[in-house]
Amino acid sequence: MTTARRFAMFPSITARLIVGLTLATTLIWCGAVTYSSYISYHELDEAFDRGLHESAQRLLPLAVDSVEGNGRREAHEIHHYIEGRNEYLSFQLRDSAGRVLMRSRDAPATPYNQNQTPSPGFSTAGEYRLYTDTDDASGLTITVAETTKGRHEAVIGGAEAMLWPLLALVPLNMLAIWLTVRGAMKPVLRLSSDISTRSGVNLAPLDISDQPRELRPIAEAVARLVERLRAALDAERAFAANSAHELRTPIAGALARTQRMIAELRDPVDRRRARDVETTLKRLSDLAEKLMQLSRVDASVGLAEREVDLLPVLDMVVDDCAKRLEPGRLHYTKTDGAKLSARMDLDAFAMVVRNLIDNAVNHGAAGGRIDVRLPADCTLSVVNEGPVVPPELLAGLKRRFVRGETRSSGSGLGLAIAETIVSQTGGKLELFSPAAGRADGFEARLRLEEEATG
Amino acid sequence: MRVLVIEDDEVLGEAVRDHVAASGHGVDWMKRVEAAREALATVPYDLVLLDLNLPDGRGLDLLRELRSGGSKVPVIVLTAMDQIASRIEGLNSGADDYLVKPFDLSELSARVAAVVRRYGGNPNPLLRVGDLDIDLARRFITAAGRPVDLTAREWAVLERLLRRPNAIIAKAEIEDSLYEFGAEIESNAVEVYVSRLRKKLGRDAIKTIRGVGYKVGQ
Repeated sequence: MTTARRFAMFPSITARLIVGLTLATTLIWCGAVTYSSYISYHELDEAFDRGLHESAQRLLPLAVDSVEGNGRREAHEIHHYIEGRNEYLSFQLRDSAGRVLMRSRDAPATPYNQNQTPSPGFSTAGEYRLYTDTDDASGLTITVAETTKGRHEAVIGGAEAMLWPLLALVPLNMLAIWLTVRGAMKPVLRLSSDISTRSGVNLAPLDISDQPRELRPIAEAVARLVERLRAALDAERAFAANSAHELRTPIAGALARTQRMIAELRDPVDRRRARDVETTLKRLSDLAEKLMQLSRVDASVGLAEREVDLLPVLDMVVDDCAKRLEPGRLHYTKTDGAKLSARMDLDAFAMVVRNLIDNAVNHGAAGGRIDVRLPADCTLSVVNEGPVVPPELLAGLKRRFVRGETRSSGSGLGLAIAETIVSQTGGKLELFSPAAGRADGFEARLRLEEEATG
Repeated sequence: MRVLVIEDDEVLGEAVRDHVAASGHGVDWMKRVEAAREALATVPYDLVLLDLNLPDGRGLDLLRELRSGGSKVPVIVLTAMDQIASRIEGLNSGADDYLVKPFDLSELSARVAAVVRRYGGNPNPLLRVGDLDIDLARRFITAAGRPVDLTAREWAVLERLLRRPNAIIAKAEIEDSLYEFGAEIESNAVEVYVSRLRKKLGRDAIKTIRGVGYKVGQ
């Protein structure tokens, strides 16, 4: 069985240890019982034989006496010698012709061994173990017999006595292993939970101070990796933030200076040229902005550590966008008591909303109405007037650098940025054209935390 | 009105200063926190446009200093930092509005107008005083239903008077808002603009309170 298959059968190390160690203990125990039963069988055999021998020696003179004293060598039974003392033991006293003169009650009337004269000493016949001894003076022979059943019962009883504890031992063993393993696994579980909570938003250093020797190299390697990742992400975010600052200021200067020139120039040709510069600057500014957003998005800035209220951010961004547009163009409808919260970074959420509104402004009908709606079910909709976007084009709009058939100069990145952030945070961005409840237009519908994220 | 621009970028600072001046306001332009602090201590500005990253300090520190000193001058933050956290910090520190670079100068004008209106206690950009209908945001005015064209400086004077309709505005206050630091103030400049405004809007549009100042409305 390969390692992978073993893990498929027992996904937990604890389960594997419990099953493996319990099986091994049981097998070892059974082996030990077998071996000790074998040894005790031989020892018991010898002890029983000794008993048989002693019984014969004690019984012989008594039996001879009894027969000789009677004066008649006739077959009769005596009971009292051994009655009630040993159910397995019996005897026969025979004369030299092999006639049974005397026997215990359990003994057969015919000799134990019909076919042959019992040889002196130990022998086995059928289910009997026999010991035969002859009184030299009288020529009488005693054969003491013991059924082997007793011996077998003793050995089986002994083996059973040793096997019974196994019933208790197996669960006890499992419990002991489980307790031990659980104790030993604690650092592993702590390490694994420590590592699993690390993400783009939580790169706090791992605590490796009290890890056992075996885990220390793993813990240290992961801690180093987390540290390097944190430094790299910090650098990337700082770069995005700094470059944003460094880029925006000169662009702002150039744009403002150009707009002053347009205001001051009298010659219409010069004014048109200056307007061209202004338009280009705005496109450059927009593209730089989107590329900076993209670099931040690719550094996984979307997810926040905990759930945050996003409603104030939505208000702020919508207000900001409304101020940049013609008065009355942007309509913001909030259902009373609507809530909007998610495990989402504030700036990332602001980026999503800004991009959806920018998209509506850039690709909707010129000067057309734009609706931002937050109904009670907490789906955010941005709807713009405009022609219907064909379905085959709609499907590709969330890809980078894809634009619809539009007169506008958008970068083709806005929806891709929004989509990336939303999917990073477990939400869903859906595009519809025509917009819901209309014959035309375009609607972007945002559902936050569609699937619960860990 | 009198505006202080605090911006260390030469090109942007100059363009903003020119734009605000072209709207008829008096403008001073400072590039450092220290110089701005001195100017604020001596001149009663009507509006401050404040950049946040300055060579000798943080604009927000200056803003907090102003607010803790009891100053109520409207402040619009102009910054390249668009993070929600810094925006919230800015507004919590006492900024009246927050404009992220790059911005259109027309948008700057609209924000300035909105903030100034809010301070005048009238957030509605459409004003009606006597037979004058005034849209401050679009700088559009009609007198008895007839549209009137005003120059930038005439607008500046009228706006100043409209910030507190029915109240008397001192001549010096109007003068202050017309000129930037160091510019020569002609002694009769305010009278000249008021008389031009009366010609365009009607004789009774602006009342003179002898020895005190001027007012519009009742």
